[in-house]
Amino acid sequence: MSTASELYEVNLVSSSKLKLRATAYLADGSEAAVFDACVLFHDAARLERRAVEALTLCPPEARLAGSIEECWCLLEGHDPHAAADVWSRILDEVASVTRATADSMLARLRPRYDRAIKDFVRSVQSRPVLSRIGYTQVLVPSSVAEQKSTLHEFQALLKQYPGVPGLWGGLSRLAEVAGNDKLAWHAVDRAGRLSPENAGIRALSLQMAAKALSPTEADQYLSKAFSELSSAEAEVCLMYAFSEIILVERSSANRNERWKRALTAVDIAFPKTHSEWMRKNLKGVRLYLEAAIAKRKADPDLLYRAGLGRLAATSGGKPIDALRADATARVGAMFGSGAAA
Amino acid sequence: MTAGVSRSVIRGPLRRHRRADIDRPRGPGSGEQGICRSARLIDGIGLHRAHTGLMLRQICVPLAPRARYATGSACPTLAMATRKIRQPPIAYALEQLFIDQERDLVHDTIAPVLAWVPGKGAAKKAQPFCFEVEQVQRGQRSLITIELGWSVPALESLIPGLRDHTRRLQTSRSAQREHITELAAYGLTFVAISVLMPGRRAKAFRKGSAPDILLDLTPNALRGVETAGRSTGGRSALLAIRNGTPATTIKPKTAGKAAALVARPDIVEVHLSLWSASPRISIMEQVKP
Repeated sequence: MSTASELYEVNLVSSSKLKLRATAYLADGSEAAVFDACVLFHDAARLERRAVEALTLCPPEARLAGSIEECWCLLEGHDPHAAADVWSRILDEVASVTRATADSMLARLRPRYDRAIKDFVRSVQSRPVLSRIGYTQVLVPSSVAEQKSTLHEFQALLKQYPGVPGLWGGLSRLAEVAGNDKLAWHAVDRAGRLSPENAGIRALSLQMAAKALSPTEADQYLSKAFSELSSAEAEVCLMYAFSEIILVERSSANRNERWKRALTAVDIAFPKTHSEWMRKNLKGVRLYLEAAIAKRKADPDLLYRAGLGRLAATSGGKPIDALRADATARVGAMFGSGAAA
Repeated sequence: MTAGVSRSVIRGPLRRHRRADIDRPRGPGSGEQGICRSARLIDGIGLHRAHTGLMLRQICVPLAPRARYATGSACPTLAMATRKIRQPPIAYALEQLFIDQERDLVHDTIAPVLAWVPGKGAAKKAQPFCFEVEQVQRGQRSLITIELGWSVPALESLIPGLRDHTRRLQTSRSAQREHITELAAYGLTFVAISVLMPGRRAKAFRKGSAPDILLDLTPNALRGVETAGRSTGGRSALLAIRNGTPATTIKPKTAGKAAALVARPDIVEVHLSLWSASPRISIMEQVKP
């Protein structure tokens, strides 16, 4: 049984190794190496937080030092967005130590943070399309031309800030809408590597895997996700179900097994959901899967029976496609505002 | 080892080796101070020659410190360290770091050390790479030459792909110089810890606040080493890191590391480890307690 101080040390030592490796990647300087550095710095930041949380009686100076390190890691990991969240915590923690102590502990971070945020704000404001998303909270514009320009702006900003998971998530959504599944998968995969704890990103990555990877690769990806469904969030379970349905549409092999696994995911999701839209969406998917497994034709009034009358009234085409589009948009919105910077 | 040295004894070997480096005596009564720098330079040469068998080291011992150390206010600890003792040189093979320190921490600093230490001139690339380390500990100042060397095949057996990685860091356009310097300074600090603080091992790293390298992680009782590296600038560049620099028309004022470390209540022991690649000079100073 590890003591609190042992856990504290283990986390700090692990974080140190990651930081050194990440700095070595930054020294290399290539695009792929810099992204790998960002991933490691994000991992290190999480370990710094865990280290402080492991100490039940953490002195205020150690708590502040942990937050400073976490913030620095996120800045080094080109994620000023997440660093700003930690900075607000730092300002709270500063109140627990003397002014002189705070000034000496923040001597290195403060100028670096101020510079990074100033640069980030300038970068976003110099791109009107991104400023518009921040204002309207609408990630995917209706016109194709606007979608294209938004996608290019995201790509340009990601060259400067490859560590912001929300930007990768946003790029993935835009690429998916543009029909570029390969780019959409690449982007959501990167978002997931930076922020593995983000349920929205994990949920969308399942759907993109089913669309963009080969059936064998997609199966490998999904089977790992299936084994973790019991501890996954409701949206991950829901998107898993859609992923299996997409794979059935791509290839009819093993379709009964796929539908059954999808139904299992829906059953696991039901008790976990806290939102009305998801409960209705899950109900609709369940009705669809039950009909498919029983080899019946899906009920044309499926959306109405699931309580989604408005969706039925506004969407054409197959009900399952309407359900998937609705779920994707809502799950995508979970990090859409983050992408808006 | 602390006996005085007459100028006639010094002049002989110097005339043959590095006459241009000799400082002339500066007025009446300042003979010893005036030739102090010479003594240090001679001492360095003596160490190299001793290394090759001439044993000049035995007659070249330090005299008095430079006048500005005795009176300088910008450098309080260094000023207090009025006695400078020349220690015998220490040869250190970089591969030894894998025994003296944590393998996982050392691993990523080796290629940057190999890329950074030799510099660009072909003449500078001969091993060993001799760093003049000025060690200040409890008011006592001593000079130690660390003769750093390595075997690339031995290191490559520990770090596959090291040779290519080093070449990439030296020649790639995308390589980020400031991070190479940063990692090399960590690597050299590992060497200094292994050589000058035997038995002590780095446990963790910090980037957001000092000290960079932690030897003891106990909350509110940290022990560690603050590190910095400069590709050029020598001792004056290192002292600027230690003491800070005043504001100029183009650069803002910078705070000195030493004072900032002393002000931290959560640190109980801290050392400064500063490295210059050209000339190869280092300051290793215990700042606290």
